[in-house]
Amino acid sequence: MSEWLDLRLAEELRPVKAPEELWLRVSAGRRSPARTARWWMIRMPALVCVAVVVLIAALQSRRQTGTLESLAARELEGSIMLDLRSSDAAEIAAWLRREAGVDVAIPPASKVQLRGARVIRRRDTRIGEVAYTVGGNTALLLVAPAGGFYRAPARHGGTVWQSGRQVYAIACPVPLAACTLCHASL
Amino acid sequence: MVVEETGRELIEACRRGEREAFRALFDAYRDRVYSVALRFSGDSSAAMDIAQDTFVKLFDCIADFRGEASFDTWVYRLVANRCLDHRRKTRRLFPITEGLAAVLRAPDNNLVELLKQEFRGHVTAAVDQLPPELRIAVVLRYTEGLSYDQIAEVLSCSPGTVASRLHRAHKALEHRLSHLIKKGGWNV
Repeated sequence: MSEWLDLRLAEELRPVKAPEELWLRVSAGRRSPARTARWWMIRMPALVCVAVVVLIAALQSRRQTGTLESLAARELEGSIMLDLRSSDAAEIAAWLRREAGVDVAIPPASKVQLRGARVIRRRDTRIGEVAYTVGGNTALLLVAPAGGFYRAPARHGGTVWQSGRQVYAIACPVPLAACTLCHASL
Repeated sequence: MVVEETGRELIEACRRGEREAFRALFDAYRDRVYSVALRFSGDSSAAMDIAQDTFVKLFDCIADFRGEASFDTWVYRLVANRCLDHRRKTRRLFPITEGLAAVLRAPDNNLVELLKQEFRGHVTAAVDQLPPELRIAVVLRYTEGLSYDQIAEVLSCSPGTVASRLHRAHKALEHRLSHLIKKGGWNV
C-alpha cells in the first residue's frame, strides 16, 4: 500500500467531535423500562386480538373443508340430493368421469343397491359421490383427486385411503358393510 | 479503555438506570461513536441517526453486556452493526452530498480552500463507494486506529479476513484516486 494513501486516509477519516445536540436526541429517543412496558401494554391487546382472529379463521377454514372422511360423514347425516339417479354401475361411472373427472370402478357383481351419484364442489375441487344401500343402511363413497387438501394414507383398510391419484372415503352406519360395494365377499 | 479505567461501577450504575451514569458513559463514547458513524455514512444527518440509534441500543441492552469482550469492542460492534443496518435501509442517492456541501460552504474568494475541499470530497466519495464490509474496516482502522485483531473482534471475523478486506479497499481506493496523484492534487 502506498504511503500517500495511508496518510490521506488518516487525515480525511480523522475523528471528529460529536455535536452537542446528540445527547438531546439520545435522551429523547431512549426507551426507559417503563416506556417499554407501556409499549407492550398498548400493543399486547392488539396482538392478542390478531392471534384470536387468525385462530378462528383457521378453525373455520378447517371446518369448511375438513377431510374427505369427515365430508363423507357430514353428507351421510344430511339429506342426500342426487344429481343422477341410477342403479347402473357403468352409467354412474361414466357420469362421474364426465362430471367430476374421477374414475369409479364398481364391480358388476356388487351386492349393494346403487341409488345414484352427485358432484360436490369444494373450492376448486370436484368430488364424486356414489350413494348406495347395503343391508338397509345408506352408504356413500366419495372420490376426490389426490393432492391439495385431500390426502390420505395409501393403506387400504380404513374408511379413507389413497389409491393412485385419487382419495377415497366411505361413510355408513356400519362401515364394514359399505366395503361390499367393491368387496362382495365381505 | 475508558470503562476499564473507571471500573465497572459506571456500567453497573447504568444497569440500575442512573441518569448521571448514562450521561457519563455517553460523554466517554460520544465522539468515537459519532466519528465512526460520520466517516462510514459520509453524511452528518445520517451519522446523527446512527449515533442516536447506537446509544439507544447501548442503554437498552447494557444489561446484556457480559464482559466476554472489552466494553470498547462491544460499543464498536454496536455502532458497526448500526452502520451496516443503516446502509441496508437507506441507499443514498447522492453519495458526495457532504463533500459537495463542504465545497459550497467554502468562501467564494478562497480558491485554495475550495480546491482542498474538492479533493477531500474525492476521498470521501471514493471511500463511500467501497462495499460496506470494506468501508467499515477502513473506518475502524483509520478513524479509530484499531488493530487488525481489534477490528476482527468487532466485526466477528478473523484477522486474516480484516487484512484481506483492507487490502482490497486500498487497491480500490488507489485505483479511484490515482488520477489525483498524477495531477499533484495532494500538494494543494
